[in-house]
Amino acid sequence: MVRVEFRLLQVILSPVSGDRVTVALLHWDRTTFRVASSTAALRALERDHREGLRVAIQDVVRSAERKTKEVSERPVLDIGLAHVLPVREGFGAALYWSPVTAVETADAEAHFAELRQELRLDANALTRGRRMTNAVVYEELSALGRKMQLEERVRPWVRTDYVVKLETTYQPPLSWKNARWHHAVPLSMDGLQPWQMDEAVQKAYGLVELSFPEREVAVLVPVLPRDAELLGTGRNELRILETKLGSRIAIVAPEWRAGKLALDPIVVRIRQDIAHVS
Amino acid sequence: MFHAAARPPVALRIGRPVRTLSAGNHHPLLCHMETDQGPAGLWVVKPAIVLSRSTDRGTFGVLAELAGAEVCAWAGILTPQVGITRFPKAFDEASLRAAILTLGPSECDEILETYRVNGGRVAFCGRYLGPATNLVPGHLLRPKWRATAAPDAVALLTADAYMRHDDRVRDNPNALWFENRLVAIDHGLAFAGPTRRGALGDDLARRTALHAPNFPRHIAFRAVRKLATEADWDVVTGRLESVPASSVTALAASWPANLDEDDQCGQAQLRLRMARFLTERRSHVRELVAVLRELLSRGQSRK
Repeated sequence: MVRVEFRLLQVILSPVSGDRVTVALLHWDRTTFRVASSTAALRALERDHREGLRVAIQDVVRSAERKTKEVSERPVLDIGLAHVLPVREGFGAALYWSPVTAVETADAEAHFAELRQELRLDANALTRGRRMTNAVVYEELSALGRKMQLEERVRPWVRTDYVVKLETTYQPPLSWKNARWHHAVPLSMDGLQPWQMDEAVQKAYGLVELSFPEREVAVLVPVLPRDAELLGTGRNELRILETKLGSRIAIVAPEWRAGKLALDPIVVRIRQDIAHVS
Repeated sequence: MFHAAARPPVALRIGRPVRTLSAGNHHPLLCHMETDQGPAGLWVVKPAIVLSRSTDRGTFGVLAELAGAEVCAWAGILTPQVGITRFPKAFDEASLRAAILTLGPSECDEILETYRVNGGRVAFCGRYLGPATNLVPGHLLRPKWRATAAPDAVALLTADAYMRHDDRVRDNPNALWFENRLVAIDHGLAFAGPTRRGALGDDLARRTALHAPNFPRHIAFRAVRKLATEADWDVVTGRLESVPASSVTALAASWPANLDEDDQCGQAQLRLRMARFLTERRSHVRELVAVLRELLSRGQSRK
């Protein structure tokens, strides 16, 4: 049997009735520290209060996640969960740490999974809750370009500092040459409502029309919505763009894998293009 | 809901204690309060005699809370509305116990003991802001809130230097985030010094060196270093400098006379000392701001 300790981070809905909702779980089995969280329950609060609470909860969860990593890399002396991750206990502002509860179990991992399910907490809910913005995709593409430039064979054909100019200028995060210059253009529709997707597509259309010389190809890197209900709308918006811009653009969509954006299709496309010219 | 400069504390009566707020050192009581007109909602009642820690502040803590809220209002920082209450000299223990029956036995005992030791004493009250959360640096640094967060952070750091307050660090921010604004709370440990024997108030006000070494750990320090503009410093300096002496006099007159003496620290004329401090301090705002900015720039050059 393993002794596990856990405590809950809760949002106080009413100090009078004592009503609370759970937003995070810390779990310690003397060797492994686990964290689960979800801010879905904040829907019970007024909109004005939700975001401030979300920021405070993210702060707590991030610090717990850092501790998880730290403990996995450098084991700590076990004198209890309260020592592994000290928190300010007690009833004060809207966030409340429950007292540490200790139980014995045959399988700590399964115990954590069960608690997580009971409490409706998803380990990566906070991370997945954040929308993948154009700025993030831009950074990831730019980082990918810098990484590819480390390969000697690829270096002459890949750039991260190219500027395209027609009526207006635009610096793509990543460019590569295959007879014509190709430039990645992030187009994130993740977390957007249909009208916002429409706007994002219009912006992308304007960008290609105004900044890209006809001989150069804008390779759109669309991030489709993770919400299954909006996926169809996203695909439809892309089809409209493809129809309007024809051969001036290409579309290479990255994939969602375990909550993360995998840029493998872009890498494959660049390698194929470069192989073709060299 | 928030304190406005020159507004006297609301006279309140404890209706029913709801629970103790145990997250900080002070363990104040959360209570349903009453005014002469009727129910006044939930307030945080901070008794003068504290069971949860050892302190020699006593009623000076109440005075510090009242003056601290006023300095915040002068600096343009939101702080909950303030009030004053008095614990009953005698109370019916059975009916009080019945009113808090749903709490655990140790919390019940703590409330009863708080009533016993504070019987007849004045206590500070601050309006309870329900869904507020403790301030974290992320609130101040988030781009969408910067328009108010940056000036608020500068004002908070300056106000804390102004009122010799060093109890607002990351682990214990004593500041809240409420409806997307910074709200300062808990000034019971502000105004370090006036309870010392022989202190006059104005002598302390002339000291512009920071009285505590932990200002670089102040909850707003990082945000100020990153976001503060010249205009933010000018605004808070102007606000604090332009407080008329008559406001300080009126403020001191609004404080209950029995806050003058304190059997905890054994000192008298505390209201007068505080009034002298606040009157004199206005002339030293620029020096304080210069000290703070020097400290902020030192942090930056090390980085």
